[in-house]
Amino acid sequence: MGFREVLWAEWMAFYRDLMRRKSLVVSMLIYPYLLTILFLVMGLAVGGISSFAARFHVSPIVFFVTMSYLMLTILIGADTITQRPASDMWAGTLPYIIISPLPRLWKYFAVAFPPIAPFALQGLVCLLPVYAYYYGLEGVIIALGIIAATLTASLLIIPVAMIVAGVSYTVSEEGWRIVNIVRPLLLILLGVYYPRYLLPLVFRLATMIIPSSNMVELVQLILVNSLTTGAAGMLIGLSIAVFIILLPIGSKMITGWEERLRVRGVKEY
Amino acid sequence: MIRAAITILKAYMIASLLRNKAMVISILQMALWMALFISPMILFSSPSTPKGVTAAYAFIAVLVFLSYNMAGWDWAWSLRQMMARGILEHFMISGRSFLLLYAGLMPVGLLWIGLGLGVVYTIMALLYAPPALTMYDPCALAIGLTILFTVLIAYSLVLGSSMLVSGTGGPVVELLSWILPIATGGLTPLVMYPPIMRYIALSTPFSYPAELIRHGLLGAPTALPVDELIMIGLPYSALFLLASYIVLRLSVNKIRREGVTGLGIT
Repeated sequence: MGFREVLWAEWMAFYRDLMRRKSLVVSMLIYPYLLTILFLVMGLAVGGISSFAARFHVSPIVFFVTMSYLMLTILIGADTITQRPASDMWAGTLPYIIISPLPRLWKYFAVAFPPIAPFALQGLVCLLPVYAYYYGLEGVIIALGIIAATLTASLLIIPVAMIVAGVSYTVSEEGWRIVNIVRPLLLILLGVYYPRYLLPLVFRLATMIIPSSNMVELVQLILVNSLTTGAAGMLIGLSIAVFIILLPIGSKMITGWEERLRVRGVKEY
Repeated sequence: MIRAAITILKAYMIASLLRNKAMVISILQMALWMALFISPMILFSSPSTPKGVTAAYAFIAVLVFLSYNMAGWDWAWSLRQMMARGILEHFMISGRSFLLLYAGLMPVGLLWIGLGLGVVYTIMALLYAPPALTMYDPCALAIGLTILFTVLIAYSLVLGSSMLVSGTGGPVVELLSWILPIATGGLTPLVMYPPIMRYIALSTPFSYPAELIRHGLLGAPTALPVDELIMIGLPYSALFLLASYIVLRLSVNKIRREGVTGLGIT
């Protein structure tokens, strides 16, 4: 079985589940707006929209809709991978999966693609109207660029998610508990809502090893109109370099965990 | 009856606090999520507003937000879980009231809120500034907390009843947990809302406790005079509780006649 077949199987499984739970589709569409309203209303209490706009030279509506979309897209990519071992375990399919000869990188890319793909559509629905309203026709082009950067960022998170999953499930049989702690930490380190240049130095250094955080910074620079060609090249280059370095490590972590399971046996639920 | 409530409390305590270091893990998780969602508030702060005041407003917003989440996800959702696990019928034929279940659940939820607020206070103090909670009007604060507790019970009973009747509820709880605190002034003083939104918020029982708590803790300006907030808020929340109890009774009668819907759906 090749990558194409696995991808097709994963896509059909995801698509059928999505059609079964239509409320998910609605949630996907309204969440960026809901989160934006939440932050705006909370922000009203402490200073207001004008304070934000004066500090960052961008409307908080544009900023938070974009960042919420970014966060949700990256999170779906990471979650699909980190939660897969647990769901395989609970479904009872894990013993068959760990004996399959399929390269693990293929498997986890095939697992992550289907849930990320609909976010391209979500970007068109959520971002385009906002950008067209604020920036006119130029805004449409900016929005398309941001959607492309966001989808790239969610794919770049794959090796990080594989490392998190591999380490968590190796350390504990209930690895999903550790994953639940790492999820918000990962989002903080991505700098989606609180830009990473404002984070303490230790956190800033940690963001360097997460390829997607460079793409988040790229989007933030686009928003504040400070993106230069040099900065864009450096951020994209750094993202890809770290991604390539992390790929074999992610694969190794997953195979290491599976190897342990082969020796120890899979716990039944 | 008290023994039954204590047994329920013990069971939930063990399940949600003690089993597999659940408390440590949950507190860590909560601290990180809170840091993620509170930090953007700082980006809105005006240079003229003292940091402690900014932190205090954020702290109260978190208190209200966590309260709605607890009433929705901990109290009301427990009925949905019982339904999905097929134990709701067993609970009903035991002859016990659903209020008893809630009585056992409430202390655990309140304990979580207490822990959550402790964590949030610590995070704010470490990363930004300690919230300047001045206890401006302790009487308004006490009444505000009483009304909040009453409203939360009523809200969870209505939500629980709707789950009993419809068999679903996840997306509803999810949406309400977000929309209610935003729409009813839970996160921001109502004086900052446009008049129409202020009017809508004040027509619900949810806005009164939030206004009173903010005033009691910070001396924040209120949309109505404090005595009016108390005069309307207290009877309104009591009426809401009474109405929600009637709704629950009707829902239980309905499923006794027609059976449980959505059995086994997770």
